[in-house]
Amino acid sequence: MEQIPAMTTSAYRLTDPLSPYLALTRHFALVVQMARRNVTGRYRGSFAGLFWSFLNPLLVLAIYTFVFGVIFKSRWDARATDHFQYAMVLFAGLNINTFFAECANRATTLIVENASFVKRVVFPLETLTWSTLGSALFHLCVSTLVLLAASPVVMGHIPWTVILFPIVVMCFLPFVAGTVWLLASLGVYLRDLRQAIGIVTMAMMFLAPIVYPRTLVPMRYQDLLYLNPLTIIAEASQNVLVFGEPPVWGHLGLYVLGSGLFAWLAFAWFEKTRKGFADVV
Amino acid sequence: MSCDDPGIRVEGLSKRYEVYAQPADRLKQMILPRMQRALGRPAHAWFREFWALRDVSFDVRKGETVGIVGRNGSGKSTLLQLICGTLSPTLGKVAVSGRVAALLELGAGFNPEFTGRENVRLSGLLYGLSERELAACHEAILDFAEIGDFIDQPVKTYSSGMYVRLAFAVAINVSPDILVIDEVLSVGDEAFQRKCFARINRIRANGATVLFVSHSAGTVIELCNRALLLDRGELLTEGSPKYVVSRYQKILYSPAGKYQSIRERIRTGKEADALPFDEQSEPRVRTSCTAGVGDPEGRGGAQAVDGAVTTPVAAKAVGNGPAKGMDGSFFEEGLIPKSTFHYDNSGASILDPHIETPDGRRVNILEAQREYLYAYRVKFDRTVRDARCGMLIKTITGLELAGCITSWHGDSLPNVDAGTELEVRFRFPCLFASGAYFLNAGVQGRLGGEHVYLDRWIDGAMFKVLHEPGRLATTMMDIGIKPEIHVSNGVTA
Repeated sequence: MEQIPAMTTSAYRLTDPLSPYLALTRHFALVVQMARRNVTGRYRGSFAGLFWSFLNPLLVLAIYTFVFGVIFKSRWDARATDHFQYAMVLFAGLNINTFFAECANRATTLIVENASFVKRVVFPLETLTWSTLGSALFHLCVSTLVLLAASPVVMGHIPWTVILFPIVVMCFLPFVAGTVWLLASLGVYLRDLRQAIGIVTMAMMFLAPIVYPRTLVPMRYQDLLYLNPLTIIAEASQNVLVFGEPPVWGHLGLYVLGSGLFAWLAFAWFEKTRKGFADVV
Repeated sequence: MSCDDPGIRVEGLSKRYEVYAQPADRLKQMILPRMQRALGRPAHAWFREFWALRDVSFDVRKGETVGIVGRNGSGKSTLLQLICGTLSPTLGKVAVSGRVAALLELGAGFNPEFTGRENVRLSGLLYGLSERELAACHEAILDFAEIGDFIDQPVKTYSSGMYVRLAFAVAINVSPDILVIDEVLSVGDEAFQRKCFARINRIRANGATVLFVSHSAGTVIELCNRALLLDRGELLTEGSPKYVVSRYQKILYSPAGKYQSIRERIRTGKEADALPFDEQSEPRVRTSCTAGVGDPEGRGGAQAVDGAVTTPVAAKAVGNGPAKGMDGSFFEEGLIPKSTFHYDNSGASILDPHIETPDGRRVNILEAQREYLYAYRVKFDRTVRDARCGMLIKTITGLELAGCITSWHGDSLPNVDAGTELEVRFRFPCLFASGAYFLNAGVQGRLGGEHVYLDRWIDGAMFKVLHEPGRLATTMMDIGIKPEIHVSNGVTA
């Protein structure tokens, strides 16, 4: 005889900072199934199907290369070797923003769109965050592979530091997961959020050294850029994927601490507020 | 585990829905009252409250099949959802033992965008099946659901029948310990319903507990060991399915003004019979009715298991039954056809068409195999020649089952004076299957040379026939067919 594990009470010990990751390991098969479904569902019915997830980043990179390498003839910063590298740096940074924006945009409607999981079955709603991350991660991987495949053509080599890229992404994940939990919960109660989130993610892109190098920013504003959670990760990605430099480890170390703390608090918030979902979904 | 182990235990369960004007109010409710209390101010509530369930307690033993009946909005679905864990109780406790598979409303947790196959996998994972178990029952699920190629289409494209077939197929193939079914089977066609009931029976035979919401009285009586009656969130009574269903119908057909008193009587009736579902309370009635009149097979014994209340007919026929039948067990005031149509009358009016027992008690709940009278009065306000009366019994779909006239043209009453009042009675055996039936009445005569209807009622009265346990006759009428079966090649089991 067991007490019904009620939907509305948390199945986790929220005082445990690792509880957000238990949501992943406990329901791993479910997360994989949902993430896979997110990816295949997007291309369902289209002729080229999954091929689009390769084609899209490839075309984007081609357009950047033409516009910034041939028309603008831009150089990133002092480290730049030629015009074409600009497109690669831009692409590396934008992939980080795209990954974040994809998750954040989905998050605001994550619960509302899965109303049947709230009301009809006992569903571990907290795992929806991980499956959202999972499918976005798939797209990030594909984009990164496209970038790496283009590297020998554009730059003549693939920097060895790409093996550090997974570490950079791992540091980023808790922050993104926390954002999804927070927005998913707030999105249920504040329906205006989904309208606002697009402009916020765009602002975060332009207020990070993604389309321009940090060195271009006036000295007194440069440090302010670090208030943007995308800055450290975008710079680290550009370093490891294009410039062949390791990330600034001190930055990344601090980042992973802050990121983990944020994920923990956001997860606890989600678990505390989920009891109201069924009332308003 | 012994049989006495409760499969489901519900204690003091109450559920309050909080109805919010805006989603944002829900968020305020979570944060602001705490702050207000911390500041020593009275806490404000941002919602209207609605109590869907109040203090409901019951146990369901392992292997039992329990039906829940009640009108729309009585809290049945809320109760099932609380048991499944998709809702959390406001007060009280629910405990279950084992895996609960549920078919709640339409949908059963399917994601409309996913294909049937994906949903099957997803549901399996949610029921906690391992990959291996999932693979093992996948084929069985698809076989049972009979979806065909649609299995790879998103379920939003499914017809409601396909949807329920798939949901049901999943629920019964994950080998549940407790199966919860919320009035969904009515969507499927009859063949599929048949298949589902056969499957439910098999699950029951394997010792699973079944909890079952239905509006179909027949299904509850047939399938369940016990039934609960919910009304306005309150558990009014529980007991044998027949006892509960008859109370349910009373509530259902209660006239507007009488609802409260009927409800109160059912509720206090529960208090009077300390244990209405106690097995011991039934044989008391049974033994007193074993020699029911008009019941050569001795089936009357099983007919009057109506809790502690004996039937008026049985009381009369046997002569020594407890005289408690006067609460109108077999008469529901609200059981009046809504389709009544009265032609404009000329020359005579039919008054008070109704059914009564041979000893003159008015009833409209009939027991199979007993005799009843269909009676009405005809008042003539003009002098009429060749008057004759007629009746007709029809099913709910309008099928004309049986009828009778008082005479042929030749031998009609030659002359009826103005002011005469006739009493007309048609005696008939109740050979009908359980269900609702409707009665026509008509009187014809010659007015100024022409033979015309003087008065005519379509659906002037209705009656219901109770389910007859052990009935072998199929479909509408039991015309007395006697089955025989012999082994023809001499080999016996």
